[in-house]
Amino acid sequence: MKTMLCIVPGLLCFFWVPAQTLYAGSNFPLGTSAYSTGFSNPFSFLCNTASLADCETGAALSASNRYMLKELAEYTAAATLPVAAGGIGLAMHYTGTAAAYSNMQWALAYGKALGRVQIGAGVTYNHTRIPGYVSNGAISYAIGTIWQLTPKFRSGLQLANFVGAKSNPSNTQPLSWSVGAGYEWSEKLLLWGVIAKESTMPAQVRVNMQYVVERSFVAGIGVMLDVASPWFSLGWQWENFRALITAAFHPQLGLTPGLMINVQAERDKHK
Amino acid sequence: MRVRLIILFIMVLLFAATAQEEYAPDPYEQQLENLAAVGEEESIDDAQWQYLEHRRRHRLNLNTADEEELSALALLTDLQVQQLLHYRKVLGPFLHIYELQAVPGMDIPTIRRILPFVAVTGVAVGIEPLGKRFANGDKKLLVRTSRVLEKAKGYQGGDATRQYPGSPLHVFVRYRYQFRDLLQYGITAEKDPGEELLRGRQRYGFDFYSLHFFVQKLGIIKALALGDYSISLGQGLVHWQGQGFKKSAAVMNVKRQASVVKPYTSAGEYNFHRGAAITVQYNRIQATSFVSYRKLSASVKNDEGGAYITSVAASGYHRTMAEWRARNSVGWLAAGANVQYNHQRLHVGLNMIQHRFAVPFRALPEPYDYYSLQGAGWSNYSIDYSYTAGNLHLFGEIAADKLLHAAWLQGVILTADPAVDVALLFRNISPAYQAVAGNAFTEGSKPENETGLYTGIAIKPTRRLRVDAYADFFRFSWLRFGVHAPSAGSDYLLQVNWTPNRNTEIYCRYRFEQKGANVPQEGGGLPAVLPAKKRSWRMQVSWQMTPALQLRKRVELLRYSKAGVHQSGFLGFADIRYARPFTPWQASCRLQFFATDDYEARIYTLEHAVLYSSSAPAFFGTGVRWYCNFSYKIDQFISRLARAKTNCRIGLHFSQTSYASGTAPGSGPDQLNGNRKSVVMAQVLIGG
Repeated sequence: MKTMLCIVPGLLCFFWVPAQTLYAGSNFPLGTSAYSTGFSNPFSFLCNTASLADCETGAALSASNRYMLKELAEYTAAATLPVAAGGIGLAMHYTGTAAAYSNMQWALAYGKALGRVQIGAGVTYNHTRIPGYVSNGAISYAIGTIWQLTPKFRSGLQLANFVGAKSNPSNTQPLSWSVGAGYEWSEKLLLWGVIAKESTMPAQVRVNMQYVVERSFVAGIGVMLDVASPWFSLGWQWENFRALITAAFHPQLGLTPGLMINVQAERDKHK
Repeated sequence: MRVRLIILFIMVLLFAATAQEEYAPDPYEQQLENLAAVGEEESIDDAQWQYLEHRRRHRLNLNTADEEELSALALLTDLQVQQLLHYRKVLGPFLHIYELQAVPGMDIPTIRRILPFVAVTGVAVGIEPLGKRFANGDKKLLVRTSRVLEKAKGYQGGDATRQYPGSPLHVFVRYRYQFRDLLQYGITAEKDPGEELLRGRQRYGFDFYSLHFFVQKLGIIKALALGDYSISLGQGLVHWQGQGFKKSAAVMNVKRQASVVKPYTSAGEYNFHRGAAITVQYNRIQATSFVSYRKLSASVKNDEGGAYITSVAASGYHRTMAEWRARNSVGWLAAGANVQYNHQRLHVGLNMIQHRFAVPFRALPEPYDYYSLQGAGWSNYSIDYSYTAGNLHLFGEIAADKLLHAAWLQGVILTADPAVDVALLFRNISPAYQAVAGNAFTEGSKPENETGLYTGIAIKPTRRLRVDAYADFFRFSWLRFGVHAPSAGSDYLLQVNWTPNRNTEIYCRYRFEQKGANVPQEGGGLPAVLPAKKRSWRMQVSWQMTPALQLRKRVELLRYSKAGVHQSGFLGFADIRYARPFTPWQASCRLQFFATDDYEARIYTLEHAVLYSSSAPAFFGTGVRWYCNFSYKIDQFISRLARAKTNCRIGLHFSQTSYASGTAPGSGPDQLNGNRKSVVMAQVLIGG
């Protein structure tokens, strides 16, 4: 049974992970939303590159162990830096193990605000390695936009890979279309959702809520509707530092625990 | 190609302020999409769009407009029309357009919808005698041409019987003269792709010509139509040739509203009459009579029983040898009458239509076709009625055909509370009832073989929130095409509209539909009829970012299930439109992505090209589509040429769909070689 559990996700991983780049629209760490100002973190630009337009200086690290299988460990690191005309972000993502299957991605993105419309663009280098079988890389692109429709409501769109990056002639990276929206009910509560569709995968729908319980404690809960997979996060924050424990539960494949830490400069409320 | 796509989208994002186009009025968007889904036809009759554009230029005076003119906007429910007329009768003429807010049943979104088309003026415009109407009217010449850039098999040589002799160019020309609402005449000509023009079988020009002459308010004559015209009677049980909306998020629009006689100006080659029609009015009585003779394109077969019609071709295509043989092959004589009595809030009408075909219809030897139209002659009769009592509007129609098979439709529209509107519609149509051109508010495309109850409710809990919902239960007591047993179904819709501010509109829509469908059985034999379920969820955001710039995006998910087999569909698009007031140009772009497992999970989306040209194609397979529209006014240049003030607008459209795998959809001579389909369209509109 355990072997099966390894093989099935392994196969899934083989076909799925190469198809999902950092900008795929649903591959960002849990508890990350681009569709808010108060709840964003350095990973937000992976959800939508346009969120870099009003980013703060910050860095974050996330680690998770998908379905508790060491072969599917994932590590993501990101940093954001506001610049005079917007913001830039850099991220790195690693999945797998060097002995079997591994996938590494580097992402660089830039976002800029044009009034109440934010736009962004990013590029990802995606390298997949299976010892003795394949080792190849591909570059893909993403562009995004976020609309500040009301002071509390944001909605956005991100497209990825529609340039058709190829790691080899038979492996065209799938196009991804992701739409999201977030409503900041108050400074303490954010409701948001994302719908993401890759050309080769069923559509994925995430509905989420993040809440600042106390000044030092934050919590999040959500569900990935396409697989009825709930997740939650619980965190502690102190000044510019925040640490989150995350957990997602897949009804067939089990638990995915994770840890996220980030350091972020305090938001300039005049922005 | 894909590099162009990224450039396009970046341009859309970066140069938002320079983007643009021309659109069918938004209230119709979902109705047109649903209409396409029911009829599986892409093209859309532009008659209503033309009417609204005319109204935009010549606004309807709310102080003099009658019931028919208000209904013709198709933006108000019948109850709202009645309440507006009653308000005016009791309190006198409107003093200002803002007074509309005081009319019972009127809400802000409705007022916003009709504002571009209505005005409040105290001066009543006179009715000129006929001779004076031939001068000082609007003259409008429209020339539109389009083509698919990729060559289809029908143009590549080979089997002569499946080849298109003409060019892949589509050409549409329309000239129209209009003097307010009093006089209108014009000519329409069209050549479809693959048809010849000025050569071969079409030495005399276009494949299709249509002429119309229409005059209104000429003494006792309320309307006179010569040439091509359309007839709409009652609630569509016996005859309806105008655009007939069915179920949509406009849940209160359940009543058919149209003038009995309308001039026909569209390019469709099927749904109209050719001859003469006259409406006279004397006090409370209005009578219409019409006679028409034209030829239909139909497939005719011969056997020992003689010639008979197997099918009528409504597409208007006359390209291949088989299509050409069917062209104008059957004469169709139609005559009918309508007499109606209108007094205050009561309306009663008697309707009658008779058809005579040169070749008889014959049912196919299939059980589902058992009750279909048969013989060379057919007739339908009906009584339609409506009555408004306070906040309640009742309407209906009782009809019978030549063989006295009955059909009945009964509706109620009720404003239960200023914030709650309710609509009910019951229909009971015999499986044997047939109407040649019936089109009523039914689940099926034609009013036949259906019993059902529709309930709709529109709730406005706050100024910014609106909830529309309907539930429709229906039963087909006889077999249908593709459903080889009596069946039943249901259709539910829930739409929540949120308008957080006057520039933003967001809606979420969930729709569930269940209908019987054939499921082939292993080893052959009769197919089983099992429920086929379709669930769709849609979210759309429209944002008028500046007075000139509108951004819009939509995402739609669909899941189709039948006999344990599931198909899913996804469609997302982003639109940008730029139309700055008092600037000569407009532009718009759309980028769209769609991915569906198969045809059953197809998703319909309304698209606009140039002015008066829109379509609602079905998207299936996986692909990316984009289009750009651009239009520019060259009034000064044309005025100099014409030595008189002349309006002129040119419109350009380019669209391309790239399919991820396989080839672009199409079959037979329409099959394209590659996985790409590109369409270019150009239009010149002079006058207006």
